[in-house]
Amino acid sequence: MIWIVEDNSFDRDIYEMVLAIDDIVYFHSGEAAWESLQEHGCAGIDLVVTDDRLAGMMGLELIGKIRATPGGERVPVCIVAAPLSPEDRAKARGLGVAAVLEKPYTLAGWESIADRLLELRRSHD
Amino acid sequence: MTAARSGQVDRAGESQNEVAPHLEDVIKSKLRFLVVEDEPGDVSILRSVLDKALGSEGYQLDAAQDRRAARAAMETNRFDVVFLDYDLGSESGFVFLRDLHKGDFSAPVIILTGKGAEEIAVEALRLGASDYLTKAELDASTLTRSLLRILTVASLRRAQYMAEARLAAAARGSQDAIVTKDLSGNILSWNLAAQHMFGWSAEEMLGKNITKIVPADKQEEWEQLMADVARGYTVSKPRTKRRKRDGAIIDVQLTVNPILDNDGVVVGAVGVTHDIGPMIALEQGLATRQQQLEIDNLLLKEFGHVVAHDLREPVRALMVRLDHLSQTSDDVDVREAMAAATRLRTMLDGFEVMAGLQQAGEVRELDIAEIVQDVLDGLSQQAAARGAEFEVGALPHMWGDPAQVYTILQNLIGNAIKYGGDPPRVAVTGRAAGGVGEIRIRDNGGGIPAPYRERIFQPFQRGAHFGDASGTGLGLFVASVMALRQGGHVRLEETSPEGSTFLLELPLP
Repeated sequence: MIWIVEDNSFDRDIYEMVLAIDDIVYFHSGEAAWESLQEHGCAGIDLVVTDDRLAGMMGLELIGKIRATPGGERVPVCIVAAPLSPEDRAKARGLGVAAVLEKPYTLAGWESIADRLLELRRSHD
Repeated sequence: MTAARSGQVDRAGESQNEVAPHLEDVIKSKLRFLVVEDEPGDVSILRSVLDKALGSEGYQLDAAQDRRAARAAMETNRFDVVFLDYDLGSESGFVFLRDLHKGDFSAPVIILTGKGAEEIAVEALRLGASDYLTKAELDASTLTRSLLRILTVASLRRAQYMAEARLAAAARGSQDAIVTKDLSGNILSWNLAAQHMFGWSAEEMLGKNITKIVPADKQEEWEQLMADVARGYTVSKPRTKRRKRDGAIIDVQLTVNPILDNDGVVVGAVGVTHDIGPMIALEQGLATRQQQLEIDNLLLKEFGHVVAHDLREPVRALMVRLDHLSQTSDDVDVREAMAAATRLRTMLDGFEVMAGLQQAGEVRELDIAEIVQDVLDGLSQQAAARGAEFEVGALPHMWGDPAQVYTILQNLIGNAIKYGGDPPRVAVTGRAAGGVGEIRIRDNGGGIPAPYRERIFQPFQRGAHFGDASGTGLGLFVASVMALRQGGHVRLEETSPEGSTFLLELPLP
């Protein structure tokens, strides 16, 4: 199961198109993802993909909460966002984020993102 | 006073330390004497003695028979020494001597007396005569000795007067308050600038204590300062405070020097006070301005961030959709829309660079040939549209952020296609030299006119002469900033009507 936390509906459509898999769970906000995490824990999550700049809780904050959840210490997490500032990049490294990927401008770019995400999930299995 | 006389004064001033000065050392020009004498015989005797002492060409002697003639002569001429007969027939020479010192006649006077007139001599000296000579004993050596002494003293006085006048003039003309005081702080002099700065006149302050202008919280500093000055030190206070007559406190810079007497003992102090109020006001103005600039800068940066980030999302969405469309359609409108969106995105990249958001990412060893090939692939449509021809030489591996190096080369090669000749011929060559990798991009365009050679690297400075309005005005700016962030450079190496060469330098691995 891949969790995708993204408040931009266009980007969700893109994920759906390029990933072409069924076990994707979308969250519209960091808070929604956090609620699910509290209720159901981390079981079954193969990969979390989050934008950084979300309307409420920011991506990095959500990742911090995942890491603090029992079983969440080793869940692979990937940020797909606009370029991060050097400080945020350092924070992401500190949280053990597997990859920080820039949102691409082309479909080909998105396809390579999809390849990368599926690869990350595989390496977790 | 003539120039010759002032020369004489200075010469005498210099000779004051000599052990036995000679008359010639003191006198450099012809001396002029006046003798006030009613006996023509006595005038002749004086003349013959002067001849012996100075030579007949060494002096000029005017004679006056009485007081009135003497006064007239002295009003129109300047005499170095006046010989005055004590016994001027009906009147005493003393009356004249007394008159002389009431007026503004400063020539030294030698009294000529008869024999056995010691009391007269004492009285004459008391009345201001410089010397007395007995007519009967008048000879060349006595006269020489007397003249030497009198003229030396006169020139020393003159030199001292001049020095004082110069100092006073300097103090008068100074913008700084110059105040002298004794060691207890009693004011001895107070210049015009001090009057303007503190509001008290010299008359009001002479003899008063300097502590009158020292604010209460600076009294201790003042006492410490004067103690140091009394030990012979010069003390400076770059920033202290003084009190004006109206009670206002002003910021001043103060330097106090000790005044030494002939034996080197400190007898007083001279303080020079500079009003630094205007300077401080200027400094404060600058500090306020700087603060404002920092705030403006932060706001601009924040603005840049918002623009770059928030515009990026819709532009990205637009581009991905157009990309999608272009895969199923060959519509020229779609292609044009894609080109416009790409320009928009390049501008956003430029904004980000300007706002300092986009730092150099992770740098690593790069196969530049591979990147150049990627760039050429990406530019293949533009290249085909213009029929561009490429010639790519051997390129070194270099050190950098792959995405940024890609952007730099895309800019440089894209420009070479856009601004090249018809058809564009673009040569990409490389070499490694002294730890630095060099990539040259040469085009066959018409060259860049001198006024634009630097401007093309500034943001939004695209020259109208380039004809093509499709650029963003940021390409070279972005490329040069990115290169700098990776320890390299982008510059225009050479340009002529046959073409231009741009150089990208990056560190070697």
